[in-house]
Amino acid sequence: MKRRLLLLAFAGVLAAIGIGVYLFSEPRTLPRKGVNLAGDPQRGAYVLRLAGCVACHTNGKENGAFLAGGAPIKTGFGTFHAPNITPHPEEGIGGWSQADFFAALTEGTSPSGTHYYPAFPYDFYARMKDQDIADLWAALRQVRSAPSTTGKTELVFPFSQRALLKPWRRFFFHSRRTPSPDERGAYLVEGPGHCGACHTPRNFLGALKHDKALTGAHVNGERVPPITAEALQQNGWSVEDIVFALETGITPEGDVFGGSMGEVVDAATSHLTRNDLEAIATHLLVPDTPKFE
Amino acid sequence: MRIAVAITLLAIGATLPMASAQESNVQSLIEQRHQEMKANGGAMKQLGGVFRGDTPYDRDAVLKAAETLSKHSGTESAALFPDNSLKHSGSEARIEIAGNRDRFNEIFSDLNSSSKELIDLARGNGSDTEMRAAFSKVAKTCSACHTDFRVKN
Repeated sequence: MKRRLLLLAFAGVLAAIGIGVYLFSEPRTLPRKGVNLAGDPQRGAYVLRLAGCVACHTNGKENGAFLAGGAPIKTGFGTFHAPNITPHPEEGIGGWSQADFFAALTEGTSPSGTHYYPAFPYDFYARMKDQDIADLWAALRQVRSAPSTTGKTELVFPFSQRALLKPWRRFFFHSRRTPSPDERGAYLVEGPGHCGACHTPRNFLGALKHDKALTGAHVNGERVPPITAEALQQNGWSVEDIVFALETGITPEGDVFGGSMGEVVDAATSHLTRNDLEAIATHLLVPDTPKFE
Repeated sequence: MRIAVAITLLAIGATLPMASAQESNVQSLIEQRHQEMKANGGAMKQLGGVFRGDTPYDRDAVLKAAETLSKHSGTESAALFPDNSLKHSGSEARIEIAGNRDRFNEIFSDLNSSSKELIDLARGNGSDTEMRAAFSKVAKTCSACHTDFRVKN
């Protein structure tokens, strides 16, 4: 009897170790093919706007240097600061290789092997086309190097423990298996545009609720409205209304977005081509398309 | 002693109506700026319809809307937001206006100059492209101010 109990306890400990190793180890991934692709900095400058890099990584309100670090993003987990992504050798990403950049964007992994919090929308960037990432990298190389103008990310315990991101990734990071959508509008919305990073609600661990994609959420103390086809149609938004609002920040009612979306319009969507804005609007207005994998 | 108490009470009594007069003054400022913003919103709705292509291109309508915007802009309209009226119940003006007066005033003056530009183009022989460009400038001021200085809920 005693022996059986001992055996059971031993098996229990083994199982616990096994589960621990599983949760805290990185799933094996195939290296991204795009590494060492030649990039076009001109096209990359456009991707820089499209992917919202400027909106988060530049502290426009305090006249911070371009891409030298963003304004604080307050969440229930603590305060995030988007870091310096200028070529500054210590404070920016001057010491990175293109492969490092691919790993950051598509795997959420830093050159030292630590993981990024999902406040950095790498689960969307993972769907980006290799050429777009290579172009973006080429553009970032040409940005003026500047020391950081941002504070340090300060999270509350236990979220301050980056190691916990490993089991988090086991549960919630699936995008690595998702190919880039073919249709331009779907690609822009679900990939670089990362609309869902704010418009899709998150669970208590900060993971996106994919079954509630684009149904609205709360970010930084703001109510973020739903932008599903149903919600947009109910409010009478047409393709032209959406294009116009993303260009100007003005709604069909003559009201103004303001708040975080005002920043997105200013730093990102107002710089996009009409074709891309139309593709985004058209995709958003098609009902019942799965907006995620 | 009694005299001191009486004087104090009198002093408090005298400041109460002053305080309430100030309060009603703030209320009327808030009321006035709400009306101006509402009128500007109506003008932007009208202009939006024209420049989106939803409503027929009507120069007079553009002119009228631009006149509304130029009337409700510039230093006079910016003055409707004094420090003691910020973070007030029933107001969506952010307290940050107090610390960023120069920028706040500049946006209001940009709205004034860009709407006047639109008026001139609509009165004169401004091309559609020119008018649209002027409208974009107007929209930029709306967006800039509401992004930084309006409470989002």
